[in-house]
Amino acid sequence: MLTVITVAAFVMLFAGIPMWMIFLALAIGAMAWQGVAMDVVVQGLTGSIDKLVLLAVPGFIFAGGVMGRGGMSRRLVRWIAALIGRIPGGLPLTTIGAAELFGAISGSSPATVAALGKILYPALVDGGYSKRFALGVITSSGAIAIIIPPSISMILFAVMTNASIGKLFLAGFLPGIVVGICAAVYCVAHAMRAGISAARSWSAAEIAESTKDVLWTLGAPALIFGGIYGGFMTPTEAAMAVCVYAVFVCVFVYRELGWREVWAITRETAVLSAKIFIIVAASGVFSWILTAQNVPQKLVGLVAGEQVPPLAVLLLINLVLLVVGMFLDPNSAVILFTPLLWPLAEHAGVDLIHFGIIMTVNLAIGMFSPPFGLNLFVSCSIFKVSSAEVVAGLVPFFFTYFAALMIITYIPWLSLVLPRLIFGA
Amino acid sequence: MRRLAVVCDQLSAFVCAFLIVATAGAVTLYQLGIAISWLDDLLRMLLVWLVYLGTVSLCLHNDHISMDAVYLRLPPRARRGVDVVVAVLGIAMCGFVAKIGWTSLAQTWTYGEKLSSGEIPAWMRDSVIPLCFALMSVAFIAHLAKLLQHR
Repeated sequence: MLTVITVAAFVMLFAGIPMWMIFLALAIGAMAWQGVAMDVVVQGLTGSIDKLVLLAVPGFIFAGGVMGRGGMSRRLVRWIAALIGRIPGGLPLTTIGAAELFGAISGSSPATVAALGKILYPALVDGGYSKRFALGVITSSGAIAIIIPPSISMILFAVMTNASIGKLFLAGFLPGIVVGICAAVYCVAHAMRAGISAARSWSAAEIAESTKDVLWTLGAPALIFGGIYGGFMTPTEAAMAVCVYAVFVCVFVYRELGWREVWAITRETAVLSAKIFIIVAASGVFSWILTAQNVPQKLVGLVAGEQVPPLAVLLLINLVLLVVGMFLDPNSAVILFTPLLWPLAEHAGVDLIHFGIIMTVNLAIGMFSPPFGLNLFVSCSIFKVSSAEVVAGLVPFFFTYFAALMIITYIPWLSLVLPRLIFGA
Repeated sequence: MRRLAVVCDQLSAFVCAFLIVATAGAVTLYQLGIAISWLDDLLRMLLVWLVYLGTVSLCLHNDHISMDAVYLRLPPRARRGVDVVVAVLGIAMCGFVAKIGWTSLAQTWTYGEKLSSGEIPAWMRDSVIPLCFALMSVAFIAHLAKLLQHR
């Protein structure tokens, strides 16, 4: 039966049938085949999403939408440009720095490309960088938002594996910075090689003014991480607190968002949440097949039988996830591949939190990898360019991100030091 | 159908707004040390409703997450063939889930089951499955009719 299900799944996947329909149809078919009571389907459809922790997802989507449109991203860019604009490669570094900070608020990769790209693309081109380079740095920087917490993919990973969301969020910080540093090194080298001088000189007045202007914006990550790691809030509570905060700042303090736009963002949040959670619900029913057929155990048996060394298992997992990331969005990939790959990683002695970070970084790279990384299409539509132009700009960034992935994979300390420091071993 | 799509869009947005406001209210109550036993049940139930109302909207707008790498490269005729298969599969599957959801709801109603706090009747959550999957089935019927019309 497993062979039939695998073949059917691939045929349906490549035919473009919606993910949730594939999961549900195969699960119902397999259950009917084995004569299982269909109550399991109904229980799975409600039980797999009837979880308080999942409330954080619409919360962070909504907060990201409000902050992106309410003037917070613009203030972040201005502040970072004032701080580091003098360094060679200052503008691309501003892009990377802004992506790190915006990621600490929004957690959505396409939203980061859209929010920052509109502001930074003209500035990069005017600053002497080629269009190709500008497209590459903006499109790839959006991926950082998935790695830097809060991250929707990490929440879904935690739900699939019962990992601590607090530990996962904490574990994402250093890897996010490592990815940023690898990309920054290339950007500085590129600027120096191309002879592009710094776009501006440091101005104490501008730094002071932009810092004053950005304080309300910086309150959002402070609220999220202060709340979670100060022990005042769970991630779900922090998500809701930041929703209220974002609406307050953008509507009443900055006055750049009206209630009509807030309602439009709410509608978008509802649709996007439904898109993600219907896959979670259907995969909850589908996981019955994996359990009933002992699929994870069979995979582990296969690897154990071949005596594959742990380092090679990790490389194999990375390659599988990189390919998966090229075709699937990170959330679907987390839901589909976590139950299959985690037993392999566990067998190779990988820590659960470290594995969550490896998976997140891989799928973040997939966000801008051709042929179907979502950020590619966002850039094409925002900047009105062909996907070939964007891909050409992305090639060097693909190598820098891959280097960062290898560092993160083979130095678990980067992912585990902060959780161990805060939560203990 | 367009009116149903607008109603579902607005309703799921309303549930989403209510969910955010209610959760923010719950956070405030927890911080003040006030515990209401049924609040968690209510929030989780709203999330389930949000997901399935939103999915009805997705079906009406034909806006799902799928791997369309190959699909987009198919000739128009083959693409329409896939669309018909998806619509037929959607009608059959959603209709079937609505039916088993209805049976399950009838049991929940008969036995007077409640959610974990013991305060909220379980039928308030479980009724979402037959209702929304029936609506999804209707959405797929409309989609199929449109495909066959433009043949």
